[in-house]
Amino acid sequence: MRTDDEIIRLCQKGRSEGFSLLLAAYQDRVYRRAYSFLRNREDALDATQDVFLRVVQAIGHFRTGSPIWPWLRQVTTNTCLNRIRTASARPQTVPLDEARDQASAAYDPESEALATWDREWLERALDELPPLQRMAVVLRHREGLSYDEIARTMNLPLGTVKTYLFRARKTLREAMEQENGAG
Amino acid sequence: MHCVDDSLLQMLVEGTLDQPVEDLVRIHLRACPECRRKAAGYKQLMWDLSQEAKKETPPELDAMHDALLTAWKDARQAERQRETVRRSLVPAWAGYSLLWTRHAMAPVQSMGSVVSKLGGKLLEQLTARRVSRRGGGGRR
Repeated sequence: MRTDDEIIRLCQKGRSEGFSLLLAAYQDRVYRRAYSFLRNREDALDATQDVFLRVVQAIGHFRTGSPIWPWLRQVTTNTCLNRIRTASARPQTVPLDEARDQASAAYDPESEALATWDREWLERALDELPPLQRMAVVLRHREGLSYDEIARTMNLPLGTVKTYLFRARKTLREAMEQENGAG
Repeated sequence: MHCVDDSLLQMLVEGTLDQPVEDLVRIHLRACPECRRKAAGYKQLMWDLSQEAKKETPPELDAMHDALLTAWKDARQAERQRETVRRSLVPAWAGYSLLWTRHAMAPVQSMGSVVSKLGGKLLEQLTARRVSRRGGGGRR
């Protein structure tokens, strides 16, 4: 398996082999990250294509010696942010409240164990978060970025990032309790 | 008893609270089952969030790989063509600029030669005067 540096050097020499290796190494990862931001298969596919078309233009300026993923993650985040902003007027999917309504209120508040959390349900709950809150959650908990790094990546003030994360996690915890109560 | 704010519980689970605040929150948690329940919920949530489900990637990505590779080859081809044009333009530009320099600078050069001729004559006259003055002084 080629290292990031070798892949970049091949690309910068104009070798197709290099770009093919780059796609093989990162195309799935870019798609998965785009999907986790956009929660829509077609949008994620389009975003993945846009990301690599930008890479085609910009790879000549990439500094060798740096890992590729942080750069690709930034390009993916920017591409998805643009899509989220232009699609903000589009109607959202089924609201979370509707899912919550299906849950009974028979939750036992004494119980500290919340072991029946269904991962698929978590994915659906993530679908219902406002897109920017979801993006902050993904960057924090799946990419492991610090609050400062998220603020830089999303080009937002630190306070806004903290608010997004706080609200998103509160919403998800409450939804999780409802779900477990219903179980 | 006032319950702890949710943001503090989240920070406790993330381990980002200052020690004195963390101590206070932990003291409260010992006495408050409601806040313990919430803190346990955040702990579970954050663990679940970090576990990304391995999703199947769509088959369209294979076709996209080929399309992107074609885009790459086209871009490199265009780049090579631009480079060829740029290289062929450099000698042409250099020749043109040399020609331009000769033509545009000709009046300046001729003016320069006039000035230098005049200057030379003036210098000759001044030198002649100085010599004659010295010569005159010597005779006195």
